Amino acid sequence: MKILWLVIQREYTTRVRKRSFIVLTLLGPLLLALVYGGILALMINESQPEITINVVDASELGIGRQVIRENRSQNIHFVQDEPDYHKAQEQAGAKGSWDAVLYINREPLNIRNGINLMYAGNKPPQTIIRSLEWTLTKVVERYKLKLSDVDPEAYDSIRSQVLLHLEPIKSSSDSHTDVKAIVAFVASLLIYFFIIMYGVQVLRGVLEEKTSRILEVMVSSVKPFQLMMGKIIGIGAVGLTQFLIWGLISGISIQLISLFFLGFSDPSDVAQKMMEIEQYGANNLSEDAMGIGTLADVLAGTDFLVMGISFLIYFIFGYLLYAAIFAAIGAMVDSESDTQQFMLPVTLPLVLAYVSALIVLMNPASLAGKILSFVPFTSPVVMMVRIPYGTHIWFEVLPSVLILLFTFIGVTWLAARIYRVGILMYGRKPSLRDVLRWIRYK
Amino acid sequence: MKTLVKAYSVTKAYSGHVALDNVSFEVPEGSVFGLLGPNGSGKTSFIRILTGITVPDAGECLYNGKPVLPGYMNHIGYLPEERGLYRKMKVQEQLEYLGRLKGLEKKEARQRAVSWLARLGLDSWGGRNVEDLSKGMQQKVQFIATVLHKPEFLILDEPFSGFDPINADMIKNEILQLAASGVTIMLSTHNMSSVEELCDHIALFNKGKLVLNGNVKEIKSRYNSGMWAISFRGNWVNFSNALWTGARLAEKTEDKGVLTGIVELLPGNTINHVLATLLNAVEIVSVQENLPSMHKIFVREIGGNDMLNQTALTE
Repeated sequence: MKILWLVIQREYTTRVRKRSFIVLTLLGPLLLALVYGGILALMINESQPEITINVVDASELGIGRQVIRENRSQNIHFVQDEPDYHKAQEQAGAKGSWDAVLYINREPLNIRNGINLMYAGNKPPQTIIRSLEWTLTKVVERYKLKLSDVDPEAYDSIRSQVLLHLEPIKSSSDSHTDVKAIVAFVASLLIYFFIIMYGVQVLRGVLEEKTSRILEVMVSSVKPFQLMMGKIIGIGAVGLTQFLIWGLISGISIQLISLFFLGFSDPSDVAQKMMEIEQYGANNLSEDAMGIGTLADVLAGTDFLVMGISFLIYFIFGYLLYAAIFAAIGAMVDSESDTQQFMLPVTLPLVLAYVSALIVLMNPASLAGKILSFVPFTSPVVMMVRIPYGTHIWFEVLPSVLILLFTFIGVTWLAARIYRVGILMYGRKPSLRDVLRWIRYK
Repeated sequence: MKTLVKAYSVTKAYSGHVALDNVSFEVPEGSVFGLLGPNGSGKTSFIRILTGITVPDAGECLYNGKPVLPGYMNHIGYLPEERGLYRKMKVQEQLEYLGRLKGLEKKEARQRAVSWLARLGLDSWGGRNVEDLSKGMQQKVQFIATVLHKPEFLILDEPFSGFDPINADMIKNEILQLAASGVTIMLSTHNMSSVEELCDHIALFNKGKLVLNGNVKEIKSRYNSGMWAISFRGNWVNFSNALWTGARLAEKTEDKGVLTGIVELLPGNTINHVLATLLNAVEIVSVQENLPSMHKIFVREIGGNDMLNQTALTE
């Protein structure tokens, strides 16, 4: 145990003290924050383009005038300088004139081309179009109400928007499934990236020891199994350290940036602000409809305990399982270029898991997702996403975890046997038969 | 003399190839024991069994009369032929780490590393990364790592490879000092001159079999086929004539007027008998029994065919 601890310590300290580790750990979240800030800044600037529209109304229904009156957007300016729509088009885009022409047909209620917008230059942004459509809809509605002799106020009180409230029948009463699914997907993404990033580091570490010829010195003091597990655990701890620091710095800097740009400190407010910007002029959607509640509210649900525990188990054993395989690969070959052929069969199930996690997110009942959430090589990523949609803890999550545990033990045992022989073998790349023979060696 | 290591019918095969075939011998405590043989003769396979890295298919190795147990490696220092260090680790830290793996306390490992570095002239390099050191310096660090925990048994596989002659002598002296202090040393090497200088016992392997083993002096006298070196003043004709039926002249050399003939006694003759006739013919300067060198014994036992494959066999 003392030896294992020493190996873990060495693997951890030599990596954490490396300049590259420090730089990446500190710069990573700053880069992320910069990208986030950049996106925010862009969105805010992008959302403020202004447009001047010359309205040509051929309808004799006064729709043009009403549109101008009902306009609530500060970014849309209407003019009626040129009543001839051919001339209006010719002048569009010229300096001091308008950017687009809103042409209201003789029959404005014709759905196909009753109302047209001809623009010069670039297509107007979606926000402008939405806003314009909203105004036009309202005006046309008013006109139709008048035709049918319906009181607009009565209509407004009758008009409704139904939001379907979804709730699983056999579950605790909480309504944040979608948010949880997104949290779960992010968690499974974390598992995926962690395995890829640090699994490869394990492989590199073994190769480095192999090429520096230190292994024979080491195995006279340390059992190969201790050496392998020490490396896997040490690098895992390095990864956890890095992730924690990233999380911390990213969290703080995203808060700061949000505060700076938007004057909000709660990320869900930021999301809402973005939605508002996007859907300018539309009715404000309620928090519930957008599926964004406060984080504390969401975390209070009992499913989150299951999710949290499952995340820890899948995170740790998913990493350990793959790291053992990567260690065995590192032991089998002599140089990094030789690892390619072994990498594909290892990374393929991971990519498959990632894709099926996406599928589950769209269709929680997916059969492939169900099957892959039991296969130990994909379950850490896939099952995480399934849990919020109401998986059975005892009949689904527990068996999946148990399968993962037993596979981890079996694979680690196999990997240790390959590692034990492989680390002292140089030269020829081993064939599958060689590797099978290594496993049987005493 | 007490036996430290006893190999008993050790056999090991790798996928059809027999690396060690029923090998038995003993290593006396306090000896400098040479493990000789061409490449692929089974030396490294034997060492790997002795260090517990692999286990034999049959037979066993006893250390101090007991089977090789985990933990006994803390009493052993092993310098493998395939050796290296963590390149990105500082010299001092690396030595401490390797020492602690052998059971030393942190403080003790540090003190010993500092004093050994000073002893081999590396005191100013402790804080540098291993990759900044020259190959010879790295070999020295490797040697320190092997002896840091004061092992009672040292296994050195080709310890002089990678050293220039001056540093090789330095390491040779350290080995001799360790031997003088009672450490038993097993030396696997191709370098026959170092065997002559250092070893008092040897085991010679060929194709997985033990060809020869025992005390170096005894082996040499066993291989003494009645050769003598006789130096004299006079001329070769008189010398040859005087030998006549008593001995055969095998080799002639001349140095500053002193002639030396290597002669082989013919059956039924003694050196006294031959000298009696020589005394009348030439002026005898010295007479010495000409024991075969380890190199010659090696070549004779392994045979000419195998020698063609031997490039590293140089004296």
